[in-house]
Order: sequence, then C-alpha cells, then structure tokens
Amino acid sequence: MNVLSLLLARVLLDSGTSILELLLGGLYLIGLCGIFTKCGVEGWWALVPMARWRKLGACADREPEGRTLAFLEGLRILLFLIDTLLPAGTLRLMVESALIIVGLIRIIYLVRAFLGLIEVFGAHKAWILLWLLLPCIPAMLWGYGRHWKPRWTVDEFRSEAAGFFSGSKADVLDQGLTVNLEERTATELFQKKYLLRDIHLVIQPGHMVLLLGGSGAGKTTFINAVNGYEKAKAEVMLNGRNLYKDYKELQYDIGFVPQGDLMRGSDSVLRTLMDAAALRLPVSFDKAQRKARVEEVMAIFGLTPVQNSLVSKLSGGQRKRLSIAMEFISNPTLFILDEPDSGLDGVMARELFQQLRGIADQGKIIIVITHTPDRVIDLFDDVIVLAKDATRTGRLAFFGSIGDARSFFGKEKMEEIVKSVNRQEEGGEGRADEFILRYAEEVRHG
Amino acid sequence: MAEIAKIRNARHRDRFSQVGIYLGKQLRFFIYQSDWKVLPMAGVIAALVAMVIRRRIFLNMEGDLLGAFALTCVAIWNGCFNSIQTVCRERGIVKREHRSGLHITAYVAAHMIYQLALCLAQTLITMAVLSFLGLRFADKPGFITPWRIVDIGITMLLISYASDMLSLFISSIAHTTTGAMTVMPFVLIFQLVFSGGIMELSQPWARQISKLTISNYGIKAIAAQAGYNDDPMMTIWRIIDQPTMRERPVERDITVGQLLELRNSGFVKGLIRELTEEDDEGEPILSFSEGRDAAPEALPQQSDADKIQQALDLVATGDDAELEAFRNYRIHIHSTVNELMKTYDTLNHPGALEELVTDKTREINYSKDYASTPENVYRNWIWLGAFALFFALLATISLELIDRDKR
Repeated sequence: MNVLSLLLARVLLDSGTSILELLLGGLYLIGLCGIFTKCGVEGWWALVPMARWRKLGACADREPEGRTLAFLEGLRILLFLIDTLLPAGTLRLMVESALIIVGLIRIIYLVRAFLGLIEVFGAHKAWILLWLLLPCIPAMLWGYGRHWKPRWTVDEFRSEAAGFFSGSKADVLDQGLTVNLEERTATELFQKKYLLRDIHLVIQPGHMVLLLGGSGAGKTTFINAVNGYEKAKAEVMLNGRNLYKDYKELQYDIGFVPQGDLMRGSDSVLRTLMDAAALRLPVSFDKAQRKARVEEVMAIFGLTPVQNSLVSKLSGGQRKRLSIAMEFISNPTLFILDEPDSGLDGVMARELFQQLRGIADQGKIIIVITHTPDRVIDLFDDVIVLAKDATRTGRLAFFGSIGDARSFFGKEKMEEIVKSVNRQEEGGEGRADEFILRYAEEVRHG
Repeated sequence: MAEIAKIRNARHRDRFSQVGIYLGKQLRFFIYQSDWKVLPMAGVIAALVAMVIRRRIFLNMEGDLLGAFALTCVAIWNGCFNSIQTVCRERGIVKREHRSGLHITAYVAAHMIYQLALCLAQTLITMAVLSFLGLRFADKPGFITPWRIVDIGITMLLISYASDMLSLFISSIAHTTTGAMTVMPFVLIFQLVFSGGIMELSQPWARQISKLTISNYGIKAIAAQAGYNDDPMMTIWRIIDQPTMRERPVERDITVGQLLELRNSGFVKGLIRELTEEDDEGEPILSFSEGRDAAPEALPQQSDADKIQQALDLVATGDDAELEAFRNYRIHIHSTVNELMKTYDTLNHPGALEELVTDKTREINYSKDYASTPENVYRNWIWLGAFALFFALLATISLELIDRDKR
C-alpha cells in the first residue's frame, strides 16, 4: 500500500508523500491548470502524467523539450516502479543511480522549458530560480494572477487557413516536373505532425525557379519530397515518369546540391569529380569516357586551372562550383540547389547564378533556395513561396512568375515577400494565412 | 551529353566495385589528413606501458594477468581511437553520396579493409616497441605459431580490430564528432571495468555482462598464451616474505592430541625436534602448559619441567602409547614466523617453503578460462572476430538509415 501511494504521488502529482510535498505538488498542478487555460490548452491536461509536459512544451513554445520531458517522466516512473520492487542490492543501487542521472537530465530540460514559458509570459529570467526551487509559487501566480498573460497562445494556431485546401491537382506534363503533394508528415512520440500540405504545381522544362520561404517553412522538406529522397504522400512526375515508383532509375536524373560544401578536403578537384563520375555514370562508361566528361564539366564550371588542388585549399566560390559540378556530371534533368550562394559575395553569386541560368537554358529544370534572391532575381522565371500556416504546417502561399508574385503580394522585392509571410515574433508581418487562403481560393477557382 | 541521356537508365556501379573508390578515399585521408598519426601514437602508447610494467609481466600468475590486461588496454585504446570519428566527421558527405548511388555496404567494407590494415600496422609497431623495451615474449613457444610473440600479436590485432569496429559503429550512430567523443570514455570504462581479469567480478550478472566485452576475451586469450596456469602465484608468498611478516611473533597453543593427528608426517617430528631447542634468549620455543580452555579435571596432574620435556621428547621420537597420556596437554608455541620458515627450509632444502606456497596457491588459482591450450586460444579469437563482424554489421544497419537523419 505504501508503495502504491508513493507511486500514485509520484505519477499523479510528481511529488513525494509527505503532507507538505503533496500540498506543494497539488498547488503546482492547480497553477499549471491555470497556465494551460491561459495559453489555450485544456486545463485538465495538467493532471495527466507525461502528457502535461507535452502541453507545457506547446505553451512554452518549446515542443521538443516538452516531448523529452514527457519521455523522461515515463522513464522516471518506470525506474521508480522497478526500484520499489527490487530487493536491496547492487541492481537496486544501479536503478537508483539511473534515477539520479535521469533526474539531472530532467533539470536541464526543465530549465529549457521554463525559460520558454518565461519568454512567452514576458517575465524576467530570474524567475527560473523559483520555477526550479518552488514551482508551485510561479505556477499559481502566473496561472491565476491577472497581470500575467501569455504573449501568444496555442489557440492562435487554429485558423481558417489551416483547414482550407485548394483541392486542385496539377496536370501531369510529358515534359517537365509535376508535383501533387497532399501531405508530408512526421511522427514523433506517437504524434503525427504535418510538415507540408496541399502543394500542387507544374514546372516547365528550361525554367529556373526560386524557392522562397521563412525559416521552418518547409523548403528543405519540400525539395527532399520532390527529389524523392524523403517520400511524401504525393505524386511527383518528371518528364511523365513517376519519380517515387521509378526512383532507382531516375535518381541519377536528379542533381541535388546540398547547402554545405559536402566534399572531402583530402581529395583533389579532379579526384572528387572522377569519383563522382564513377558513382553517377553508368558502368558502360569506361575510364577514358569518364575522364572526358569530367574535363568537360570542369571546363563548364571553370575548375580546370585548379583540377590538381586539394578541395580543402579551394576558395568558397570554387567549392560551390565544384559541388554543383559533382551533380552536373550525370547531366540531370532536374537540378535542385539548396543555398548555393551562401558565403559568396555579390559578384561571385551572380556569376554562379548565370551559370545556372545557362544550364536551365539547355532545357533543364533548376530549383534554387536562396536567402538573398533580389540580387539575381532577373535570372529566374518562377517563384514558389512556402509559408507556415497557423498550425505551423508548410503551405503553398504562391507559385507563378516573378511578376505575378510581385502583384500578388504587393511587394517589389522577394525579401519583402518573405517578410510578409513570416510570423510577427520572427520579425515578419504574420500574413501567411491570408496569402495561403487567397492562393488556395485562386487555384480552386482557376 | 546525348550519350548520357540515352543510357540514363543503364546499370551503375555495384557495391563491390564501389569498395575500391572508397578505399582510395581512405588512403588519401591517411596521407593528407591526420589518420597517419595513429601509427606513431601506437608506438608511444606501447612505450609508455612497457616502461611502467615491463619488469613485472609474464613472470608469474599476477604478472600474466597484469600483462594481459595492459596489452588488452593498449589494443582497445588503439582500435577505439582509430575510427571513432571516421564516419561522423563526414556524415553529411555520406548522406549526399548515398543519394548519388553509394552502397552503404561498400562504404563499410572499405572502412573494414582500411581499418584492418591500420590495426595490423599498429599491432606490428606495438609488438616491436614492446620487444625492444624488453618484454619477455620469446622464452616460450606459441600455441598456434612457433613464436609466442606472433600468437600474442594476432590476439592484439583481433582485440584492436574488434574495438575498431565497435567505435566505427559508434561513429555511425553519432551525428557529430563531439557526440562520438562523449560516448567513447563510457565505452572504454565499460570495457575495462567489466573485463573480469584484474578486477574480479563477484556478482553473477556482472560476470554475464563481462561476456559481452571485447576485453574479457582479449585478456583470456593473452593470459592463456602467457601460460597463466603454469606460472607460480607470488602474492601470498610475497606477503609472508615481507620483513614485517617474518618478524611477527607466533604465540599459539596446540594440543598433543592435535599433533598426534599429524605425527605420521616426518616433518612434524623434525619440526618439534628443531623447536624444542632454546632460542637466543634461552627460552624454549616449544613448551607444555596446562590448557586453559580444556576442562581442568581432564588434565593429568603433572606439570613439572621434567615431565614436560619428557612429553616433548615423546612427540619428537614418537611413542604413541605413551603420548596418549598427554593427549589433552597443550604445547605452547612461542616463536616467530621467520623462525618457523627457517625451520621448514632447514628440514627440506633452501627455498622449499617458497616453492610449497607458490605451488599450492597456483593450484588453487587454476582457471580453465586461461587454459594454455590451442582450443582455448582459438575460442577467444573466434569471439573477437565475431565481435568485429557484429559491430561492422551494426554500423552498416545504422548507416542504411542515414536518410532518416533529422536536419
């Protein structure tokens, strides 16, 4: 009975069994109920073990920490149960040591979660001490004090745009790229999370497309879904062939240039490209043919003078060009580049984008993510604007020509468009839902 | 260009031919980056260990275990630090190349071949340094090869390689070099604490965990190759042989009855003869006294000096019937450990007691885990090889999931 009561106290109240501990634990949970209610979460969640931490994470805008705290609480309960059942001995000592370690890790995550809550309530960081030492006091004060109000609530995540979808599928073209993405989800701790939803578009061959969006809007998730690397609930057709079904065959027809310079510094430029050719070109290409192709690509990207230099000795611009050249070896139809101009000055960036324009002019499709689009915007044909809706799902806010984008958003510069769809707490205008809804309406009505 | 387009759907390089590409990359990493540094480091580590323990190992049971533990530590250290950063430092590159058609099996196979060569070179350097600094390897033949140094070298290579594959696996699951280097000390401590050699594991569960460590099989193999069970055990003798122990007085009572139980041994008779003589202070080393613990009525009512001397003489010369009358008498031994030890050697031959003690303790400490047989050595080698393959398999499986990395 004693074990049961201890366990119940530990699980339900997150406290010990003395009267004082139960009282403080009870007050803390009552306070949490108030905080949850203020933040737009049902207050009774505070009474549910483990789940209360997820909700606290949501209120504090610290969802990963909330998930970890929920997991740690589950672990603590399990260890505590084992500890109470085990006879005294080495094993019990080990379980108790594990409990101490879990407790220490938990403190770190509590600090992170409570700091998030402090930020949401606009309080001074010194409150963290009280949150850690005597959490019932701040919980009661913040939960029921009139002066304590969260700066934003979880309620705000629910909006009209989140539930509105265009429902229009893009027509599949024989030539070009067609994307009909219904949803791209991820499951974390048994909870399904939408990363992207309702994105339908067609890109013509020879088009160079700018992919815009604020931080966390799902740009990288989108390109990974498009190039077939992280499959979504979608139909991606490249030149009339289903990319997901024929991925093994089409993977060499897609060039993806990642954000970082992911190459080995110990290889020379020539060796890097020769190895890339060995991987990407079919086995029917003999060494001489591979060498010829490598030399051709080096000439295109201006790498011939540095062919014998180690990659670690190249300049930033040369590395970017080499990174692109590696993918260009197999002459892909679809070329996706994630921030190829990061770390480059304006002149070098423009040169690079001009080379990309040249590739697009050969009938290729180029999709580029860049955070400084305005210096090269004249080289692009279309723009895709992704934005987070109120549920923080990546949605299509616009797809079309550069000119249409300017009139749709009422902004001249691409960077202003990004600012308009970014959340207010990120320094943006917080108009993402407005544009998502308007674009979906426009697509639905043709 | 057109030719590429035409054969886009053609067959690409299979996993076997990709191994060569990645072996080349490893080789260039060795030359241009810092991988070559592990070779001199292996020599430095071997030299440090040899300088500290070279005079103590492979001479007796304790030295065999110490040597096995030290050499296992050296091999594990070398192996673990060879590959702990190799995958995680280029995780992004591997992920990119996986998109471009890299077969993970080819990547891991290239690492396995390269790391084997690295471990072999390290083992050669380690054994050369240890031999140069005077470790005793050459005085006994090996079980598998004619040279014990080669046998132990093979064991070192296998320990090193298994550890190398373990750290390759850690490197495969760690996303950053910092993460891998944070985990590494725990792995090393686990290997050393649960090795079961020098640190005796009394708990059954701890002994079971020990079976999951590379160090356990490494120590067993090296101790077997060092001839653990054939060497003397010195610890007890060293305790007895210390001056503080030798000078310790021996004040003990023994009854005549107890002596009668032992009297068939000629040693007892001789011992009593030796001990009934007077010591430097003129006191007899052996003397009768009335037993304090025995019941008074059971004791004969004789206690004068002549009777005592008569009883001692009887014990020494051995007339059972007469001695029976003195059965409950106590003989009080008033001596020192040194005196008793000298007496034993005098009755036998110089060094006899040391032989007796070390032989008896060796018999007691015999362990089949360290049996000096080829079968035992092979068994441990197979375990070490299995560990290497198992960790390589785990590394492959974990890298096959590299696409699921969170960004």
